[in-house]
Amino acid sequence: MSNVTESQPRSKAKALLNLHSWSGIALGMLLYAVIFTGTVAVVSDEVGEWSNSNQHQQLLATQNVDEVLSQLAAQTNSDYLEEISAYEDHRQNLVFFFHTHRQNPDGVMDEYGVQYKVNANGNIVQQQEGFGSDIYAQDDSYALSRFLVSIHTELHLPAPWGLILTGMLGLAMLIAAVSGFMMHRHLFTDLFTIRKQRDGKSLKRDSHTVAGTWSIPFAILLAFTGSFFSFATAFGLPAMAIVAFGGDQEAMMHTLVGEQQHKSKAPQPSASVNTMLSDAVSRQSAVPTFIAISHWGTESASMMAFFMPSDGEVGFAQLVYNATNGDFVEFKPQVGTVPSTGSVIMSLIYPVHFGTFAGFMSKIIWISLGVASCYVTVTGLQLYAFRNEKQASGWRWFSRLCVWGFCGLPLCSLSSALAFFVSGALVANQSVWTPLAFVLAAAMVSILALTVKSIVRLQNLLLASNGLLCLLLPVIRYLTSEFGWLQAIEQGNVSLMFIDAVLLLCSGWCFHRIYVSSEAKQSNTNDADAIVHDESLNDTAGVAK
Amino acid sequence: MNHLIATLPYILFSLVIIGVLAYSDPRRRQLHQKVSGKTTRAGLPLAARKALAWSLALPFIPMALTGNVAGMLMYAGALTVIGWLVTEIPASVI
Amino acid sequence: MKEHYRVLRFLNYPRFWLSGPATLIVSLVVMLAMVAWFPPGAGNVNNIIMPLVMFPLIWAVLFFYTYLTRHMHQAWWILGGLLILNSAVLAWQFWG
Repeated sequence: MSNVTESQPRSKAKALLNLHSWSGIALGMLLYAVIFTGTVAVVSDEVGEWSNSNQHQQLLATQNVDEVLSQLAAQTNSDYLEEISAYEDHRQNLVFFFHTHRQNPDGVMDEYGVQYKVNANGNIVQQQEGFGSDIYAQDDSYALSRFLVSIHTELHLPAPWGLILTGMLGLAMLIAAVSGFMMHRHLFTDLFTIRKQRDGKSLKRDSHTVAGTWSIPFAILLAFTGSFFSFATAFGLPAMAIVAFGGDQEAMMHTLVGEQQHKSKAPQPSASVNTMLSDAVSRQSAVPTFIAISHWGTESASMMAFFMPSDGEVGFAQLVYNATNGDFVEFKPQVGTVPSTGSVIMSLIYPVHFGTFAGFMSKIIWISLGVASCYVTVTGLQLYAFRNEKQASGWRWFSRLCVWGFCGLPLCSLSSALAFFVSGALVANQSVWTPLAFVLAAAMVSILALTVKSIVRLQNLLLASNGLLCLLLPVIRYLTSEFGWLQAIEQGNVSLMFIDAVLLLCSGWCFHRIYVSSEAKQSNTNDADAIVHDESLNDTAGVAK
Repeated sequence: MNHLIATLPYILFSLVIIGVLAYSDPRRRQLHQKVSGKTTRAGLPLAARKALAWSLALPFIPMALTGNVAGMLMYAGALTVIGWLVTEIPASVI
Repeated sequence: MKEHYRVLRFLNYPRFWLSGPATLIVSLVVMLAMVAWFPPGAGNVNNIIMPLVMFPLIWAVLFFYTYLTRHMHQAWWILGGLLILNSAVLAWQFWG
């Protein structure tokens, strides 16, 4: 190692500023991608319902699940009766997955078995055999929501590298948020003021500081929980299996799930699933998100019903039944067999990260937090681009990169939604066309970013495309599904109306930005030097502070 | 749904308090004076503003007593968003 | 060529090695060793879950400490001490 040391004692404030800047600059664009898609991921269920113009029918409570299950069990390989999961998809089918557990070709423990999709009339509309991860990856009804969520969780990079990268982005966000907090000495004084430039636009530094300061606690919380998810899945759990269980991942999963590893397989008729379901519904005053039945038709049979957080709670609820006689056994902890700190934390971490603990209200707040975090990232990078561009014209590529990323990513996401609807209407493979459209749109945006000379024109062009797609998508959704707002109001389909309304709102915002930009362009031409002077002054003031 | 309805008044309370804090912010008033050229009345004293800021923590007490953990999280999130949005409103408006 | 060297000059700073690779390695070893020394609790799962949850926190605390400290030698000693102690616990877990 080199003997070079920093020659002068460092100023703590300057060191923190350097750390804050470089953590943002080095990973800011990727961080924006993760935060933007994370904001969409908050409403991934709603996006799924919207993309299929569907309203959840609560089929687990209204269908004769027991009868369908018995019929399907009779025609299924007995190996796959080890576990049966059942849930309602986005196309008004009940999905039953009869499976056992095996290592998939990637060496990861996975579910393997037969999946049946049964419609409201009790007819099988689709039957597939394979690994659970593969079947889910090819399910067209989830094509759009799955694609967008996967950008958030692993940036579509191969496992485990995507997860490791998003984990590192979480840590970078943690560094940026904590260092931002530590270097801010006048927290209360600066909290309510955004100064203006001479042309009336908000000062970039103040916009960044104010949004950043208000959202610091949640930036830390979301960064911490996000990096936990990424690292735990990428290498944490396998590493724990090596240290605690000598590499036996199956034994560790049994400990975490809270199940005996070897259960009796002596045949015994199982109790009615309908009875257990109605008991669970009455206990929680809600319909379970999914159910999982273990060792169906044996003396070890049990059923677990999984519920989203109930009134005032933040964590999920899991009700366990003895499926041989239908008796309620316990509210099972998320992890292990008895209540523990680890289990409580595990049950809180997902709802806290995604804001899925109090229906629409918490989701709207979490979306707003996501927008605030996006705004902090965007203004931070723009501020850096602006400062450097004025000092050295060689930095103009950074401003171009910002426009490419900030306007390009939403445009690519909207393009994938467009492809989802069009491929659905043409009865093509939606799981292929949704990501493909994203790549094609990204290529188009990149070509534009390289060819359009004026950055302002490039930004306006991308904003106009975004606005146009936001406007078109609700129309295309209606044309492909023939499910309009009147029906949505009649059926109380809030998800559909919410996503349509958000798109229309975003469209309005895009066109408003273009209008503001064109207005500013005219008045700006004379004041350009004055603006540079304003920002430079504030830079100096900021560092001096 | 009850815990959601119970949280709404607290969120409205935070909106009012943050509005008052923004309105009485000395730097904001200074900025407004500079832009409009009008002199405005003096704002609240610093101690009163600090007391108002601390009062934003008060809703956590009833929510903790009623075990409304989801409400506490939502209130904290809403506080963040409201604070940011109110500050974004130009000084000439508030 | 000189430009390339300028970009990579951070490699010459001991603080980069201290706050970067060294902090990451020590955080990972502490996380793994926690399986052995963290109380498993009645559910027998705390020693698996808590290290996973605490990994980002351990890393962040060590990172900010090593990045901001003026006493580099002390920081090296603390990281070294944590590494040796937790490696010993891990070795005991595997071969003890």
